[in-house]
Amino acid sequence: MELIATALARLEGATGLAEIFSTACDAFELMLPVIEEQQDPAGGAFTSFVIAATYAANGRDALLFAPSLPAGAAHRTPPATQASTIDVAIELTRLCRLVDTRLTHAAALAADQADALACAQARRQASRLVSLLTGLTGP
Amino acid sequence: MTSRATFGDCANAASGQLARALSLAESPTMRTAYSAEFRRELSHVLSAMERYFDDFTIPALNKRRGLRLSDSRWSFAVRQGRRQLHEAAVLLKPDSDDRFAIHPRRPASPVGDCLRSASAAMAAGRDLLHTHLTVNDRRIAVGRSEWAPVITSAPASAALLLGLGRWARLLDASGSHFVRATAASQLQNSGAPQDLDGHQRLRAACESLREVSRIISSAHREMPVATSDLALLYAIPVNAPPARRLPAERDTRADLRQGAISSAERVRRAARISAPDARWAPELTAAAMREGAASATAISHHCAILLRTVATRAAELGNPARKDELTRSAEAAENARDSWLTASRSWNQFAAEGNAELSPLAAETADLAQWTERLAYADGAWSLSQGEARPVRPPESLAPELDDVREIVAVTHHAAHTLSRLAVDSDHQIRQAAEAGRFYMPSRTSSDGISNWRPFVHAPPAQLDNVLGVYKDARHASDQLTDAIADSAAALSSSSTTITAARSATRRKGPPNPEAAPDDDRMAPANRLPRTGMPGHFELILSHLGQTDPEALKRAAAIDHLGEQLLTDTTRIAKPTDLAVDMYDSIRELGVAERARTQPAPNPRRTIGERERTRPMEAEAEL
Repeated sequence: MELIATALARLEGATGLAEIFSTACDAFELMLPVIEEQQDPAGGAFTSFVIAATYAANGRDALLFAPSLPAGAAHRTPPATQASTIDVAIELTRLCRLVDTRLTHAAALAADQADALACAQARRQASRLVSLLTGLTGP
Repeated sequence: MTSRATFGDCANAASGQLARALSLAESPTMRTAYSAEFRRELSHVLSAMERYFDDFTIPALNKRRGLRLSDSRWSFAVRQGRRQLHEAAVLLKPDSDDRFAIHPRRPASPVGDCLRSASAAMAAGRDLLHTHLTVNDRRIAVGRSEWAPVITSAPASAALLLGLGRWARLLDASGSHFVRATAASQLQNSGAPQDLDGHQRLRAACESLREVSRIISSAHREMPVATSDLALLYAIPVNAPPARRLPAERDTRADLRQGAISSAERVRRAARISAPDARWAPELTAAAMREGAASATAISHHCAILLRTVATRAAELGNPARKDELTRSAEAAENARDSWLTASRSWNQFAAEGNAELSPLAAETADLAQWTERLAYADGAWSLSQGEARPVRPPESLAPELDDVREIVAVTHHAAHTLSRLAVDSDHQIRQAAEAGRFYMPSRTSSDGISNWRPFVHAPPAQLDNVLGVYKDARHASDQLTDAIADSAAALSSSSTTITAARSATRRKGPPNPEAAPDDDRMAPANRLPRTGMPGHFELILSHLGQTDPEALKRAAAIDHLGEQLLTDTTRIAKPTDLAVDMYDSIRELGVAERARTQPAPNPRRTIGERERTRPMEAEAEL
């Protein structure tokens, strides 16, 4: 959960197109091990988290092809969260919503059509994640 | 199972009309008044039957289209049956309507009407089979559906011949009534014979039909057609995919089961269609493969739940033997789930340009996951706020009666078979796309530790080989699941036993042959079909030299079979469209013996990383 909190903070503080892309890409990348940890066949949310991982990876891929994405090391570390499945889902939803918001901002800054396309595709994946995870957490 | 017409519907309609014609032909009034009409309508029926015979391939005649029969007894039946039927058709040609008549005469008699209906049903049946096949510009039949290999298999071909033999017998019986009636009338009148020519031609035609029936019966006695093969032939549906639909709230259990089965068929069709285009299709991306594998994970997970639930129900219904069997199937489903989960995760390290949401295959696979989810779980509106465990459908709700257990087993059987096909076609797609350099790895997660200004690099061959290894495991697990469920399906007489029969038929070279075809039922793309049942190099040469000894032809077929097995095993390692393999296929197709002996075999130890990036020749299969 600390990792998600760190990703939230980095994303909120990002300024400029390159930094938004970088932090959003890292956010998608970080989601993967968090989601994989929740893929427990005995749990009722198993298949939802299996699908969620694909959306997170798709979102990362979309940003990888953005010309304005800067080079840099990946911020991927395996989590060791003790949080419950529902808490993880809620935090991931927050992160995805923020990714969506920041990429909307980034799209307005993007002069390159490829950057704009990357924003749109990544936002689409974030939106799919939000829809999936809110359905999982319920009202 | 579905509302689509099947070949059995047409064949049974034809048989019913012929049987009715026979009973009408026993009427003296009918026979004396409508002899000419009987001959005319019989000529139409014979035309329809001749077209069936035209679809068979006879090694001795070196035809390259249609169906193939490797066993010499059935080949003899095709050759002689075709000849006899053609003779009968020629005899009755003067009686037939002008084929270009704008207004062909309607039958005036009930017996004529029956024969006209029978010929229409036969033609419809043949047309139905041909919806699964097409002919390319080289006059080679190419499959258009997953049923094509079944239709062109030796067991189904023999079953079709058996049906033709039965029709010939019924027609002979009807015609013989007319022949005897005309002869008796002439004896009574003792005057100038009326329509003597027609009478003699009908008698000769009936003799030919009798011979057709005898030849085919003889082949059946020596190499019997299994009942399951006949049932398989009759189960072939028209090639029209079910409409795409998602589960609705109001769907009943039966609706959900049928929806899942239809969705499974759509997945297999989408996989088959997308396989040949993997090099360039924009919708084939790492994202699409990732989503497909994720959906396959979900499908196998749901199948495990369904199988455990019906296992419990089977015991409750007093069938403990089924419980153990179904529990083992559930365990196999869990293994398949784990394999597919590994496959799904393996794509997390790759990236690819393109949009996964454009992929029809990924969409159809996701649909099937939804259908199986609706069947497995009790509440579609469950959320984590209700607890971490999601309630599954209670056994008595999922399968109140044994019939429901049978139907759920059928659903899981179809789903498992679909997963097997998905693994096979995915393997092909990955190889094709990898050769076209379509997979990348994010350099941010690249393990080489080298700073790179590009955010991604071309995926190393070793990594792609790992992915192929994972898919091979998924295929193996899915095949094991399919086989496990097949046992339960057979024990319960489930409607999905056609899956088992189809897999068996496409592996066999002829009616019960203990030497099974190569253990590779890789679903071929639409332009490449399994080669089971195809006469090989040595068998062709012996036939051309006039060899008719069944034992010698069998030995030649065995040598060809071993050669094909070796080639299949080698091409599993080499890419399917390897230039050398394509050349070998083409050389065999042309029947050029000398060039075939001097062609180099494909390198058996080449992996993706070692292959040359050459543009392969277009692969065409022949039946």
